[in-house]
Amino acid sequence: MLIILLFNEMSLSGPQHCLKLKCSECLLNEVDSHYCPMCLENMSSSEAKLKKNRCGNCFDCPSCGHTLTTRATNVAISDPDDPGKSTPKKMYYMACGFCRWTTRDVAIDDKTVASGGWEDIENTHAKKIQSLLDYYHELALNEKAERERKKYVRRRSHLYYAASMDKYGMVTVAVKKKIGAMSNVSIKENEETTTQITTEEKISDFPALPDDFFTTPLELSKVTTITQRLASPEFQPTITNDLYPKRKHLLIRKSMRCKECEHNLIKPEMNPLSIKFKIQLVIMHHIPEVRLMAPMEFRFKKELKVVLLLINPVVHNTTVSLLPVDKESDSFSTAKIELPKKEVVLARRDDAAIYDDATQMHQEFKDEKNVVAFRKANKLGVIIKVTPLIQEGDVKVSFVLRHDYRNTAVVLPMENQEPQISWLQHRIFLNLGRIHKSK
Amino acid sequence: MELQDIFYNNSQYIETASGNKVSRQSVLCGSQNIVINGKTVIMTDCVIRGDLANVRIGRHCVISRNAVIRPPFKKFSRGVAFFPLHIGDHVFVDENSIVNAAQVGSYVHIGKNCVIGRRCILKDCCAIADNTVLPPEAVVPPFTLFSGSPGKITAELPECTQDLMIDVTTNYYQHFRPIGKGKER
Amino acid sequence: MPLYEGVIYSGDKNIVVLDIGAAYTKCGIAGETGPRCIIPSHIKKDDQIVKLWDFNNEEELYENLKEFLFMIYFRHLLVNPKDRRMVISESLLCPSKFRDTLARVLFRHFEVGSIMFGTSHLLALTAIGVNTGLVMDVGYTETLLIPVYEGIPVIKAIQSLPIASQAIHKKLEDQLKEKATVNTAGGCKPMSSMPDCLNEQILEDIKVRCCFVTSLERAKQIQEVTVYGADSNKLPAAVPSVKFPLDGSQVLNIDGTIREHTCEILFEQDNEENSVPTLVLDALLKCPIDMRLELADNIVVTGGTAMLPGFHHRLQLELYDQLKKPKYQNKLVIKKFQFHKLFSKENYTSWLGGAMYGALETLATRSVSRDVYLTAGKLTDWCCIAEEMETEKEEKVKLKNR
Repeated sequence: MLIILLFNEMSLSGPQHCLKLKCSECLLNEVDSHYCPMCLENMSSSEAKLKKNRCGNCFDCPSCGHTLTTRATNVAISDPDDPGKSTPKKMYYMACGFCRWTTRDVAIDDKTVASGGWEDIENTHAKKIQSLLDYYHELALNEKAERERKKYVRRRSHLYYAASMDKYGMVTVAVKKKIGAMSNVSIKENEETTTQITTEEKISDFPALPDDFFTTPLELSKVTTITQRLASPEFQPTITNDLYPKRKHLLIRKSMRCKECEHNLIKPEMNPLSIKFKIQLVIMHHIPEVRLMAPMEFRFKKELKVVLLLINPVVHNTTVSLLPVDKESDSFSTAKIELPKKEVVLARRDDAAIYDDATQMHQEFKDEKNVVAFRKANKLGVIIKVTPLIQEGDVKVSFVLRHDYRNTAVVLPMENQEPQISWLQHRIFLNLGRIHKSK
Repeated sequence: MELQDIFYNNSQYIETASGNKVSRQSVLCGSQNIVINGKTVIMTDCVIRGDLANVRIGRHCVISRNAVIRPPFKKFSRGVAFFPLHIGDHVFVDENSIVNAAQVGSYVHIGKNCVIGRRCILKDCCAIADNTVLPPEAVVPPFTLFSGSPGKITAELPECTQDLMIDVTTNYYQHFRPIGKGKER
Repeated sequence: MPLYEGVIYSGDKNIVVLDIGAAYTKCGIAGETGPRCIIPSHIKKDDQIVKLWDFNNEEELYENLKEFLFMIYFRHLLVNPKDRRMVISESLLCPSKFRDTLARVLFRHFEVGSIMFGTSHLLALTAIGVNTGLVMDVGYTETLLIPVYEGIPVIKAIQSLPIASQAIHKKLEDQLKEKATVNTAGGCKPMSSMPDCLNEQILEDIKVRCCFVTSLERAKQIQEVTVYGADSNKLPAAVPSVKFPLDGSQVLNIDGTIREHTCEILFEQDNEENSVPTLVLDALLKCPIDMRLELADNIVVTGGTAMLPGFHHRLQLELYDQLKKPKYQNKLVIKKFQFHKLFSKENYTSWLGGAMYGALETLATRSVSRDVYLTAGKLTDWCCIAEEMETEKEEKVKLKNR
C-alpha cells in the first residue's frame, strides 16, 4: 500500500551551501550520540567506549532477546539474633515477559539490590591473552626502536661527510643533537626482552564422547540454538543451563554531512526522545514534490492525459517549468511525453490555512485550462500527455523540473538583503504504471 | 502517488463537531471516558475500551477496521488496576491490530495484525511492521522500525518521518468522503 | 568487576577488527578478548537473504558490501569508519575480486584511515603465541590447511578440500528428504512430500543441536555399510532419535542414524582417498623433512565446524589410524601428534589474532594507508607482486632505450 511506499523512500537532503541533492548513501554518516533503547538515556561517547556499547542497567533475555524486567519477591529470612522470628526481605530476580525465562532457571541467586547487583562473568582466557599481548607489545617496541635506529644510522654517514666539509660548524651541532635525541628512543642493542611467554601445555589426547552420549535421548529444550550461542561470542554456551543475561546493546543517532562541502545536513538533538533536529535540511522542505494524481490505464500508442500533482513546501510562491529531456541521452523513458510549454506558479504554503476551513484563494492566478487541472492551497495539478511506446511493461517518463529557489538557511549579513534566488534543475524519473498485454 | 478517495456510506458514519468520523459499527465502550481530539477516522468494527480506563486519541489519527484499543492493566498486591492510554497525533493504526500499550506517541505507524503487548511504550516517530508481536513492557525508541516476534529493531526510519506521517494522515482524512446524503467536503 | 579488559596501546581511537567468513562475520575492537558480535555474512534485500560471497559481478558485491559494512559500523560497533584504522583477517587464497572490492568500499565510500590485511592462518598462530604450526581451518565452504614455519606459510604444502559445513548441510538435507517424516496436523508424512519446509537456517540449527561426530569404532562399522555396501544389520545400535519442532504445528522426526551419519562426510574418503584427516598427513608429506616433526608437534584446529561434539577426538584417532596405511607408513616417521590449546573458541581464533595485532604500535607499518591506495589506484596482492616487478622492470628498460 501507499504508506509502505513512503517509508521506503530514501531521505533526500539538500545542502544549502553547495546546492546539490544527496541521498542518504552518498552522504557521510557519523555517529552522533549513544543511547539505550530501553531506558532511553543518553550516554557520552567515552562512557559508551568504556562500557563496550552496553547499558549499565538493562539486560536482554538470553533465550529470546527481549528485555528482562526486574521483579521482586518477599523472602522470609530468619533473624540472626532470634532464630524463631523471620523478617520479610525483598529479593530481586529478572524475568522475560515473552518466553518466561527467569534468572532462577539458571541457578543465579536472587539479588538484594534492585539494580546494579548483576555481575558480568569473566572470560577464563582473559589473563593469558593479556600476558600474550604484553609480550607482543614488548616485541613491537623493539621493532619500532630498530626501525628508528636504522633511519639514523643511514643518515649519520651523510651527516659526518657533511660535517667534515662544514664551514660554519652548524652541521656538527645538528649531528650531536640528533644523537642525543636518538639515545632516548632506542633500547641498547644487547638488552634482552625480560618477559617470556609461558607456553601452554599441548594436548595429545582429547577426551572422547562419554558412553552415555550414545544412549541417553537428546532433550532439545536443553540445547542452545546457534543464535543464542552467538549472542555471547566469548562464552557460546551449549546447554541452556549456562545461559546468562546479556547487557543491552546501545543504539546511535546519526548525523549526516555532505562529502563535498563538509557542511552538516542533519544533526539530531542530544536527547534520544526528541524528534526535533538541530539541523534538518530535508528535501521535502525545500524542493517542490511531484506526485502522480491517480492510477492510470495505459494502452499502447494511445495518448492519455495524466495529472501530476506539484506540491510547494516553501512559504514563497514558486515558479516551476517542466522541460523535456534530450532524446538521445534518455535511456529511461518508454513513453513519449508532451509537457506544458509555459511556466506555472505554485502558491506558497500557508500553515494558517489548515485551521481555516474555508478554501479562499487570496491570490488569483491565471491558469490555462489545458495545463492546470486544479489548484488547492499550495498544490497544483498539471496536465501532461503521455503516449506509451511499448506494448507491455512499465510506462516510464522523465523530464527536467526547473524552479526558483531562495536560500533561506544561510544567515544573511544584513537584515534588509533579499535572499539569493537561484534556479535549480532536477531530472525527474517517473514510473507511471504498467501496461499488461491486452488479449 | 496521491491517496485515492475512499468512500463510505454516509449513514454508516457519524461526523462530530470537531470533525471526527466515527463508524456506527464500531464499539466504543465507556464513551464518556474516550476523548478524541478532532479530525480522526475510526472505521468499522473497531473496539475502544473506554470502560476500563481513560482513552485519549489525538488529532488526525486513523484507526482502521477491526483494531482493538485497550488500556493495559497492572497487577498489584491488592488487585488489578487499569492505566489510561494516551495516543498522540497523526497515528495510523492499520487493520486487525491490538494495541495494549501504555502510551503511544505521535506520528506512529502500526501495521496490520500487530499485537502490541501490555504496558508497552511507543515513542514518537516510530513504526511497527505488519504481523509484529511486541512483548509486554517493550520500549520502542523514536525513528526505529520493529518487526518479528518478539519485536526487535530491524531498521531505522528516515529523518523526515514526522512530515511523512502528517502527510499520510491528513490526506487520508481529506480523501475519506461520504457518498449518499450528506455534506460534500 | 572489571569494566573493561585489556588496554589498547596505540592511541585513543578504537581499531576495528573484521573477519568476513563465508558463513559468519566476526567483528570487534582491537585489544579485546573476544569479538563484539558474530553475525551471519548476509544482507536482507526485500525479505530475501543475499549471501555476501554469492555474487555474480563486482558491482553487486560492491553494493552488498556497502550495506553490510554500514550495518556493522552503525548497528553493531557504533563507531565512525572515517579515518579509523582497520584490521581485516582474510584467507590466503581469498579471490582478488573480493579483496579489491572490499578495499574499494572501505577506502572510497567509508574513507577508513588504513587497512591491514592479515592472513587468517598466521593470525590464528598469533592468537596462541607460537611461530610454527600446522593450521587447519574447518570453515563453511572448505577446509583449508596451511603449514606455517617460523611465521612463513609453506605454500607448496597448502591442502584444501571442499568438505566442510556446506557439505554437511547438503548431506543432511539429502538424508532428511530420504528418511525423515514430518508430523503435521494432518498426520505423519514423509519429508520428501514437503521439500519447502527446510531452509539453510533450519538445517544449520539441526546440525548444531542434534548432530555430532561419532567414535572411530562405530564409524568403521557405519562405513562398512554405507560406503562398502555391507548388510545394514552390521550397523551399531542407533542413537536415540529426536523430535525437532519446525515452525507452527509441524514436528520433524529425525532418526538416530541421521544424527550420527551426517558428519561422517568429513571423514569419508573420496576417490582420491582424501578426507579431512588426510589433509594433515598430505601436507606433512609435501613439507621438507626437517620441518615435519616440529609441525606435527604443533597442530592448530580452528573454524566453526571444528566445534562439533567429538570432532577433536575423532580427528586425533583418525590421524593415528591413517598413519598405518601403506601410503604414509614408510614415508612419515611421526610417532606423536600434539595439538595446541586455544585461548578462544575455535570460530573466532583468527579474529583474536587480528585483535592482538591491531593493539600494537607496529600496525601502521604493516597497513595500507588511504593515501597510498588512492595514489596507486589498486591493492597489491601477494600473487601479483612478481608480475608487477616484471612490468616495472620492463618499463625501466623501455625508458633507458629511448
